[in-house]
Amino acid sequence: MKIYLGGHLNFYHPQKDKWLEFKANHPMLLSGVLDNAGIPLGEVHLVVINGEKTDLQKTVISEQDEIKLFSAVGGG
Amino acid sequence: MFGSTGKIIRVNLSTREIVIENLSEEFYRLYPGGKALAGYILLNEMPANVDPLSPENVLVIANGLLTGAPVSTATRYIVSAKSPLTNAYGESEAGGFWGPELKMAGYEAIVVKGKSPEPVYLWVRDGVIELRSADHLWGQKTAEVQELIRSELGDQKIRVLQIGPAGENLVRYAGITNDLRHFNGRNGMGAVMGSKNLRAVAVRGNTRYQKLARDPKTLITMGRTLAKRVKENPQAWSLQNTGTPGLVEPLNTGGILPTRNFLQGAFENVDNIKWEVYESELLTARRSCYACAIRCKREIRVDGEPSAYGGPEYETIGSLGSNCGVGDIHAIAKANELCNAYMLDSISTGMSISFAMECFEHGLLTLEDTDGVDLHFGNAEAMVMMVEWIALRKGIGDLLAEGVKRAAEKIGGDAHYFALHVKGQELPMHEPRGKYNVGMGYAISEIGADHLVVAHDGMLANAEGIPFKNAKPLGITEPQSVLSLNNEKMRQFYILEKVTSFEKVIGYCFFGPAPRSYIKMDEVVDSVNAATDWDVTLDDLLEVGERATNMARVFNYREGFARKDDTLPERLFSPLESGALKGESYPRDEFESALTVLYGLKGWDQETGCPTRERLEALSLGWAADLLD
Repeated sequence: MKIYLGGHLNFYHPQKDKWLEFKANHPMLLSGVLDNAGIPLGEVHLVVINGEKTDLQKTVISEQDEIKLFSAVGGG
Repeated sequence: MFGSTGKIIRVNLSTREIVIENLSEEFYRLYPGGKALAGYILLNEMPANVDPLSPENVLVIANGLLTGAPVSTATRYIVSAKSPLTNAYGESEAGGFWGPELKMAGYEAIVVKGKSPEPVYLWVRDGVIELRSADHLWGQKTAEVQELIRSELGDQKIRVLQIGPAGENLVRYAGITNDLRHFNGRNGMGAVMGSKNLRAVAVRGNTRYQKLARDPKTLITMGRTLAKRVKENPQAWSLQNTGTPGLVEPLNTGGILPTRNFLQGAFENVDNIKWEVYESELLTARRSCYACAIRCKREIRVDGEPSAYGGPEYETIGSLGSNCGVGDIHAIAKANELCNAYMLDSISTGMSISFAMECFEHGLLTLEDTDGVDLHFGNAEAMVMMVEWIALRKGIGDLLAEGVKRAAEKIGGDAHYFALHVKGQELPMHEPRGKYNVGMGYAISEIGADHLVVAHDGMLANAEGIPFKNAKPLGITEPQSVLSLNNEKMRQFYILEKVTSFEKVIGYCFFGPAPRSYIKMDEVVDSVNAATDWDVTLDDLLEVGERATNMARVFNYREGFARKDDTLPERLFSPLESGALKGESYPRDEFESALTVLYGLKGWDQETGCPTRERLEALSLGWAADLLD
C-alpha cells in the first residue's frame, strides 16, 4: 500500500520520495507503520484517511485506504 | 562600533540635500536597525496625521544589524513609512541582495523626506551618493528600468531597488522590488516612493560584513554549519525542495486554503495549482538570497519563455489562484509576472480581485461597472486582466487600486462584508479559522492583517515536534491546540511576537531562527555577539523586539487607532463553507477575552490599546510616552 508524505515528511523517506510503499497483508496501526519506516510521529501534524481527518495514534489502516500525512507548515 | 557601519543617509528630495549621519553606539544598541531604527525615526521626525502620500511622510529603508552577515537567512531589510493603505504605521520586509549591498557600500539605512519636483533615482556607491534624473525610467516596467540603470551606470552588478508603474500611479498597495524577484510587497510602501517621485535606489559596495564584525571567524563558521545543515534539517530541506508553493496542498487538505474570498477552506481544482504542477509546468531553477544556503526562491518560464521575474510564492498562488477560484497555474504565473512588472503587492491585488468577484456574484458590480468583463469567480482571463487594470488604474481597476476597504465604502450596500481586511490591509493567505494565533496576529498587528507576526500554531502543537523542542529556551513548554486562545497560548503569543519582532530588527528571515528548526536560539544570540561586543542574552534580544513593537503601537495610537481596530472581518466569525474545517468559525467571545489577556501581558491600556507609560519606561521608551503627553 502507499502513504503520501506531505509537507517536509518525505525528508525521512530513504529516497526522499513523496510516497511510502509497503506490504500490508492485514490491518495495521498507522503509528506502528510510521515507526518502522523511521517517520517521527512528532512531525506528523495532519492525518487524512479516505478524505477524513483522523487521529494518528488510534488509526488502523488497511490495503484499500487512501492515506495522506502532512507536517505542520506555516509562513510563506 | 562592531557589527555596523553606524552611518545612515538622509535625503531631502525637495531640497536635494544629502547628509550622512553617524549613529552613536549607545543609540544603536537600543535601536539596532530594521523595525527599531525605522520606528524611532518615524515617531520622532514625522508629526501625527500627515497625508501618507504627501511630502511630509518620511520613508525609511533600514538594514538589520546582521543584514549581510555570512550567515543563512540574515539578509533582510525593512521599508517603513506611514501607510497609504491603512493610515497606520507601515512596514514591509524583503530579502535578496540589496540590503547586504547597501551595507557593503557603507550604510545601514536611508531616510527619505520631501518630494522631488521631477522623477529621480538615488545612486549609492562606495563614498559617493547622488540623485539622478529618472525621467526616462518613469512609466517603464521594472525589468526595463533595472537594465537601463545598470547600463547607464556601466555595471551589471549594481543592485536596484525600485517601484514600478503601480507605485507611480499611487496604487495604495503598490510594492517595491529588488533584483526583480524580492519584494517589500505589503502596506503600499511603493506608493509612498511614487508620491515622492523616487523611482529607484541603486547601490554598489565592496566592503564585506566580515570587516565590520568583532569575531568574523565565528560568523563564517556558523555560516558553514548552516550551509551543511540544510541537508540535515527537514524544514530547510523542504523549503529548498518545494519552496513556499509546497504549502498549497497541505493547507488545502487541512481545510485552510483560502478559496473564493475566504468563503471556503478547500479548492476543488487544487490539483492544477499544487507544487507538482508548478514544478513540471513552470520551474526552471532555484535561487537564493545573499549567503543563504536554503535557496527557497524559484525561477520560472511564463508563456513558454524564461521570465525576467521570480516565480510565484505560496501567497501569490493562493491570492490570485484559489482565492479567486482560479485553478490555472499558467494564469497565476502570468498574473504574478504582471504584479512584478508593475510592482503590486500580489496579496492585496488578489484579495482586491476576489472582493470584486464576490461583489459581481452578488450584483453589487455589474458588466456596466466592469466595462463588460465577466468577473465571476474562476475567470482566469479576467483575473489576469484585472492585475494590469489595477496597476494602470484603468476602468474598475481605478476603484480596486484603492484597496478593498475604500472600494467597499464607495460601492456601498453589503460590499463591506466582502471586504476582508484589518485596519485597511487585505488578509494574507492563511486561514485563522484553522490557526487561532494567526488570527490574533492579523487582528493585533500594527500594520494591518499580517501573517508574519508569530510562528504559526501548528509549529507548537506537538510536544514531540522539532519546532516545539526548539522553542523551549523561550519558556514555551506546553503544546497548545491550533484551535485554542487560552491564557497559556496568549502567553506564548506574547513571547513569539517578540521573537518575530527582533528578527525584523536584526535582519533574520522568518524562515531561519527557532521556533523553526533551522537556527537555534542560542545560535541567534551567538551570532549577535560575534558581530558585536555587546554580550547580549536572549532576554536582551526579546526586549529589542518588544521595544520595536511598542514604538509602532505608539505611532498608531497617535494616529487615532484603538482597541476597536484590533479585530477581524466579520466573515471569519462565520462558518467555513467547505473543506476539512467546514462549519468552523473563529470564536468571537474567546477572541475578546484573549485580547484582554494579551493586552495585560503587553502592558497596554485595555480601552485605548496604547502602551502604558510604565511599560514604555521599562523598555527605555520614556521619550515615547512624553510624545503623548
